[in-house]
Amino acid sequence: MSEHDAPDPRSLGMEPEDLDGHTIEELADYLDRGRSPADPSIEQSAGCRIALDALERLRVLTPELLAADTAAEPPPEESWVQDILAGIALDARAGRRIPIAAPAPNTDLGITEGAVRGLIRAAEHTVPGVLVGRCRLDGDVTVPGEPVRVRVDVSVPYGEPIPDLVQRLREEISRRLTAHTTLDVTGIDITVHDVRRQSSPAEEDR
Amino acid sequence: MTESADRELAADIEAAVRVVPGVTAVFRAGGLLSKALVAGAQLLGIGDEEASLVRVVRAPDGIRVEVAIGVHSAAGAVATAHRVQAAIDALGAAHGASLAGVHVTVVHVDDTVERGASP
Repeated sequence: MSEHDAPDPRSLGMEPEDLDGHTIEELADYLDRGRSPADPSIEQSAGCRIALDALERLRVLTPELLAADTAAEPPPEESWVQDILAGIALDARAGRRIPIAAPAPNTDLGITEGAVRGLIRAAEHTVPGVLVGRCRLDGDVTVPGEPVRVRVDVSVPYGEPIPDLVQRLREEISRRLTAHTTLDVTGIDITVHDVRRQSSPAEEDR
Repeated sequence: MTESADRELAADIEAAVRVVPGVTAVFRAGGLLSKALVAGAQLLGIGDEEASLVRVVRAPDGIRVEVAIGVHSAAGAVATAHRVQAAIDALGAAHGASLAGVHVTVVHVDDTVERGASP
């Protein structure tokens, strides 16, 4: 990740404690070093692990997308990297604690909102080319049985049928929410925020 | 139950939780403030670096256990949290401890394991 791509964490609405004192830049450097030597203060931080997962997926796609962005005219109004990093930073926040239905009265099971946003974002790798930007859980997720709507902004590659991409992503998100939560999800709203032009081999040869 | 017994119980619970199918990691349990205090104490060299990541708190009605875990994506957070709760209950019974509350929070869902990459 270049200096240009890495925004000031404060501009992402992120506080140091969200990443247990680390920054997105430090995590990107850590990934560059192959997560070696292992840093316990990063590996033992749930926020850092959520951010690392997303940064790792983003890094795989970055060269192709940067090439497409460079080729595109006029330049996009808002950097997609900035938008996606903002979403990753939000994911790193634990957020609200979402109860999981428990079998015993003395038991209190739950999952953090940050973990849920992270698993929703990870659905993108089952639909190649789709990138998840911001993700929100609307509704009182802290109360069992309350209706919750999931709202996701995505970026899609040009040339792919959007309804098909969106449907596949919605199905994957639904499958994940069923496996990892006991939320009453009443809808998954996916907004295509950006259509990215893919650079063709002919363009790359120029 | 003594403080050393509490520490032993916490260590045993951490070890038991780590081997529950679907668990990828155990994270430090507790709120932001308590975690910051532990980290600060360790930095100053006055904390116990061997202290368990599991919190065991004695309350008037019994022992309360607090655990934060990471789970494999393929295993599912709901199923894994249930297995962790069952493992803690079984361990509490083996220790003869009356568990007034078991608090399990999934803080990370690990997709890299599912894709075959290093966790």
